[in-house]
Amino acid sequence: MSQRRFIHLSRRQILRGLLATTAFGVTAKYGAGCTSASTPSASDSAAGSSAAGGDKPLTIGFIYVGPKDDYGYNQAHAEGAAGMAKNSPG
Amino acid sequence: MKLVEEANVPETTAVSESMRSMIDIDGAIALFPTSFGYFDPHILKMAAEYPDVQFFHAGGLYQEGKTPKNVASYFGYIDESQYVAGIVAGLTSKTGKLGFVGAKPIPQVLRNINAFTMGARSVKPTITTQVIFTGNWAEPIKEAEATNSMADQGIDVVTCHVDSPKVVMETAEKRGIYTSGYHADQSALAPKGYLTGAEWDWTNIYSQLAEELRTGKKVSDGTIPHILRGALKEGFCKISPYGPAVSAEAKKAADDAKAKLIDGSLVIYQGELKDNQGKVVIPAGQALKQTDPKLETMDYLVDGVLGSIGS
Repeated sequence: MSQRRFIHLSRRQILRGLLATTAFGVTAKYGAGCTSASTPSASDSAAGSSAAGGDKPLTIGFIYVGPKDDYGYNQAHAEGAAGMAKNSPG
Repeated sequence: MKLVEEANVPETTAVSESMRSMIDIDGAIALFPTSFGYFDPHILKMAAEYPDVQFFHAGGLYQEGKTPKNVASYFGYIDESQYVAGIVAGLTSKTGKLGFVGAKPIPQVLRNINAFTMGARSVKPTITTQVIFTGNWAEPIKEAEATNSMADQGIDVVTCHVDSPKVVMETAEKRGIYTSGYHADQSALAPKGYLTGAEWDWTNIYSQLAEELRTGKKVSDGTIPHILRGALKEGFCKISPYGPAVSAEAKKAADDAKAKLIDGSLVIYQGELKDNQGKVVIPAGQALKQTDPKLETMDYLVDGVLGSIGS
């Protein structure tokens, strides 16, 4: 758990630092580099950020206040998100 | 479409950080921060800062002219599912006493309590629903106490409206009474006593929105509406598969009511309707459809509910 937390925080901190000090191109490159450890398709993220619509893959984010397996409010939303991902592949 | 998710995010600046991270690092073009308390100030602030990102929030908080244009509110009239679940509870209960563990007496919770009770009383007019409010969305100790107290009083079907029905379902199953679920399917937690439940079905609306976003539609330019609502008919909610204790008669009565709610021939809130103090809340001859804004300000418990909003 502590390992995961560290990675997560460092993603945000690196992002903040880069946004403050470097040009966008470098940010995008580093951003992709950072995310590749936790997400399988970092290149998709970079593409998704540039435009909505068309044939480019869209990135949609879901945030829950509790665990995704709470048998309740959060699970209902997480099941919906999973269903959406299944219905809208690629 | 690529899905990015984060769980266990409190309703603090932590959620703003998560949103920023998803937009800046993951390149999200749309966000669904699902908790009610994320809205003000966190979603409002981020929506103003990122006008090209579309924000979707569960609830009824969007205000025309006030909320940023790139925010939409979506919500379902799940009290329709509660009405159907109430029919099953009413036809299964042997003691004629139902129980409802609620978090707070806000309109959405009151609608569920009232619809559940009216569903039950539509098939057994003398049935009652004892309500206990725990005061907050996640109070597992109070939820267990409330459920135990209901079992002690001879209540034999318990349902709830709290964030996680887990404790209520498990406690009721241990006490050997029936349960009706909420939010999601809890049959695995109460395999003997689980009758059915009022469940959200977010897959339909989320898939529809993903498709609209894919074709370039946006909330910010009005090509996706700011207020999205639906019930059983629109697939915003459903009922859990019937458990082993549900009779064929109860299944049929519930399925019939569900069909009538879907085709519009059954309206739950019809006059004359009295609250549990004997006051008329809907006069004879009047019927309020699910979309009626009056229902979104509900502040009463109907006849047949034992308990009070002030308690």
